[in-house]
Amino acid sequence: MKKLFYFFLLSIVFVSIQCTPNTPEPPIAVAGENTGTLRIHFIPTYENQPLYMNKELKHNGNLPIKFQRLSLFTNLLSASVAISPTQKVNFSDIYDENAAKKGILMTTNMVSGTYDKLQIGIGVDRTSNKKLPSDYKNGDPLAEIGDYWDSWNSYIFTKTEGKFDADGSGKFASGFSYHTGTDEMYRVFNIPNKIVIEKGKTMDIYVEIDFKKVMNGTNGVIDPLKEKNAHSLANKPIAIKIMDNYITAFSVK
Amino acid sequence: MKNLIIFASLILFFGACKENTPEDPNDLSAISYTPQAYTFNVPKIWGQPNVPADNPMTIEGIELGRRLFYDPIFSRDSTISCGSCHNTNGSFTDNKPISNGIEGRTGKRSSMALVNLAFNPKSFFWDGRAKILEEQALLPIEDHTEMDENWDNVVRKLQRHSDYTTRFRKAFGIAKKTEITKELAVKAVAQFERSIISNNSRFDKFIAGKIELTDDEQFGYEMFDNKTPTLPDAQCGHCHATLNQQFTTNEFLNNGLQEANTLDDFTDLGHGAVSKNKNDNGKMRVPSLRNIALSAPYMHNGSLKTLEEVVDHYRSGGKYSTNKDPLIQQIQLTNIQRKQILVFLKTLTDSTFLKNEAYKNPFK
Repeated sequence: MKKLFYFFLLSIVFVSIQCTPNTPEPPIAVAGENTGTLRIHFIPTYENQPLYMNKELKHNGNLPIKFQRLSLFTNLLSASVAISPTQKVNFSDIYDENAAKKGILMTTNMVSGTYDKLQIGIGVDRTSNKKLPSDYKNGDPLAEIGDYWDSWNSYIFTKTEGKFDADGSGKFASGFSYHTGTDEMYRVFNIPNKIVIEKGKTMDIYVEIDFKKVMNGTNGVIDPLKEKNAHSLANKPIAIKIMDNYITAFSVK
Repeated sequence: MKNLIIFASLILFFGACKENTPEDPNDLSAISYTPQAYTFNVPKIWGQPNVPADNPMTIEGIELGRRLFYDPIFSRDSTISCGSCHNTNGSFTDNKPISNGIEGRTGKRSSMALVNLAFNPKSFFWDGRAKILEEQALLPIEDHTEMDENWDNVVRKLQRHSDYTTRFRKAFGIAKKTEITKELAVKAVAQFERSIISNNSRFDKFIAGKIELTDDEQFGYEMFDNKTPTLPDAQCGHCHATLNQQFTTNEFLNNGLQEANTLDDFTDLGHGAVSKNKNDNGKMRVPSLRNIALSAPYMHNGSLKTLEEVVDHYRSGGKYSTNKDPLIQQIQLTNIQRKQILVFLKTLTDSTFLKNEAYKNPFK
């Protein structure tokens, strides 16, 4: 009986160990002797032209649209392992061509070396998406309550919002708002070039995101006339379409 | 022996004649300075309170702040205090469309509710012109339409006040009355404002698992936060986020309240006047909805008298302006669903907050 009891105790310990989730923190490099810096400049475009908020554009043929809020979470991965914290690329405060050409900068300290499998994560990776804004210090991009959607139990990976002129009156009176999120929508873009990070030096790369392709890409068209919003799991197909379009909208210049 | 007696007598004589040093009337160092730290007792999901490192909250600092908050000493003619426009019964509003200053002067906007301000990581006022609460508390004193006093006068009044000088010593450890400054005064007010916590509404009890919502309240909640795909999305939760239980993202948005054909046409520029960016014209802070049933009338200009009018405003999709937020769209709600949203909003009322002695006027 006593042996059976000890066996039972051991089993509990064994099961507890087996059930501990294995979620290692990403190996994020700290600036130091053996590191260099990678700066990714995210440039918003629409049909290869600089994109800024409230710029009047044509979508899916001839529908006049303009964007008012464009943002996405990103992180940097090497061979599918995160090597940077999640950052927010927010184009929503870009209101002119010069600012659009400058884009948004994401800076990562990396161990020097040659990287041929660098990827840009689009969204919030599974490890970080398990957490809540209250788990982060104020000021951290993931502490922002407006970027979390509790009905999805997920951060909002991307926001694509704006207005369209439905009746050709010249007034952009109708709104559209597409949000994406949940682990299954996390996507990665493979950087095609080899990236060499030299000790103590900074490497710049320029990544264009063509929002025409986000709205009308190889994975389908988003039609504001038919679906104005994607905010819940009921609109999941639209959200997935947007995330798949995002991958094709990225290009390294 | 004789010499010794003469020597001792001389010492006694001169000692006795030595002039007494009068006590320095400016000196406060005899008063004990043993501040007790204040700690928040709120759910973890609220996140971290925003307390500046140079203004840690203490029981003594909060009490001083409470007195200053309710004391008309801040106004030029001693007729109004912070509490005149922010009174507890209205969830720290005055329930007026536009607040009044001294001599009945008309202000610019409706007073904002003061609830859980420690958990606002962003700026303050409808237009966001103060980055932190200490900065916010500085401004109404010298505003012509509010207290119309100047800080030099206020500081002189405080330095002459026997009770306040003691309380400043106890709160901040100053050694002299002349060390009372406007910076210390607003630090105390900010401490009191940060201590104002509402955390005991029906909604809080529901989230804590202590009660269940009624069916109508539950449906209202699900539409408010778009929780159920089979119900309409009332689109409220995007800006009035429920997860951290503060019912605001504290962003600056144009909610379609003002009609404007161009960005120059807004009667109140709101955040645009602060950021100096035309694209921010007409944008106002998203306020918390905690105790919203108590703080009518609504919006920055008090133009909507009831919660029903507020829900109808959003249901209509708001008025046209070029930078109206894309999230402000017509919402299809039946009358029953409209009522359910209203019923849910009333679950955010915290009656214990209204009765909390720690927030009330200590002079009454």
